[in-house]
Amino acid sequence: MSDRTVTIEINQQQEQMLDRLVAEGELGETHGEVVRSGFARFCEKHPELFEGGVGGEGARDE
Amino acid sequence: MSDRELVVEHVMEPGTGKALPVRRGQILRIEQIGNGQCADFNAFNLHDYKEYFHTGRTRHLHGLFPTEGDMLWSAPPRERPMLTIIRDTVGTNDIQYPRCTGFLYEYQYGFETHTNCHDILAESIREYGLTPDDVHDSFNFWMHTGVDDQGRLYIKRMLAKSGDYVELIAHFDVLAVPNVCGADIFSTSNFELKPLRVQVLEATDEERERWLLAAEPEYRNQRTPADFKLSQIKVTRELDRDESYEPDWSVYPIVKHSLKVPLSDEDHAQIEGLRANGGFGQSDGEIVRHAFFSWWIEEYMRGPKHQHAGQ
Repeated sequence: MSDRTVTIEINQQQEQMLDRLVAEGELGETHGEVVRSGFARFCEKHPELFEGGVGGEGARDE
Repeated sequence: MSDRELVVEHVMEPGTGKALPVRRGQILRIEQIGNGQCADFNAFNLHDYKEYFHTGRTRHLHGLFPTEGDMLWSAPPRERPMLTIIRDTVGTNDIQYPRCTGFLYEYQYGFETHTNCHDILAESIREYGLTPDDVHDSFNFWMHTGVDDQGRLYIKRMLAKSGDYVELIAHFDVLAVPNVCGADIFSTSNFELKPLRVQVLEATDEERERWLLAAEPEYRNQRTPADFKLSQIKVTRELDRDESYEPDWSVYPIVKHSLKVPLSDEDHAQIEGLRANGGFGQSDGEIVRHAFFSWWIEEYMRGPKHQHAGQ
């Protein structure tokens, strides 16, 4: 993991959703880790979105 | 279904409609007598007429052309399944087009008077003390429609033949209001008006077991005006400001917090890929947010997703 982060703004309703995902225990222990996991899973699931672009190697290899 | 008990039968002649109480567990059947006649349709809660059929929620949950297995929903804040289509021998129904009106025929064709669904529905519900303002956007049985690549609606030739029918089971007591669509100068009913037979039947035990939903709302947000601050029906038409009004929003203020999301080098490469895609925003934060919530919709959202990720 690099030391780079991205900052997004989350409101109290979205925090409730992240609380539930943290409680499920599968995606991470913090809101930030959960968002990162969901983001990565989305990218892994949709290699077609990277076709013709400069997406990650993993996505393009699928 | 020979063991269904017939409650009432009525033939709607062209230019007419009929308001029919359909109790919970009863079936409304609408049948073609001639070839290809559209039936516009309204529905009200028989015990609270302010709960009525809502094309918007129905379209949202079942798409543009609801058919067998789909439900007709009531308007917010109640949002309950009113009826389920349990049989549809054709499968071409429409909930995009609004009911035709006198204005439409005058504006588009110059008719001073013409059969139109709004007026027919208004006359039908007058039998129960309802007014023309209570007529609402209709479910259009057998209306064969489409959407072109420019997003414009169009009407195709009616496919229904004599003997075709739809059947709907009521999940609570409703006033069902079908009418013979008045459009004889659109292709809605192949340019002629024909009668339709309507029946109310008792569902069999097997049908009730298969189709009937619980009588009580399943969700706390299927509400009535009693759940809101102002629940009494306004009896005057003039609008006057309530000088004592103070806003009291259910969720307010919306409070935002900054959230730091740790990312790997591979994640950053993926961000670049999604930026190139063009459908996820431009800043890193926009892209991460859009992709994350898209994933959440795909994994956790119930019902139709209404989401198209990326370009």
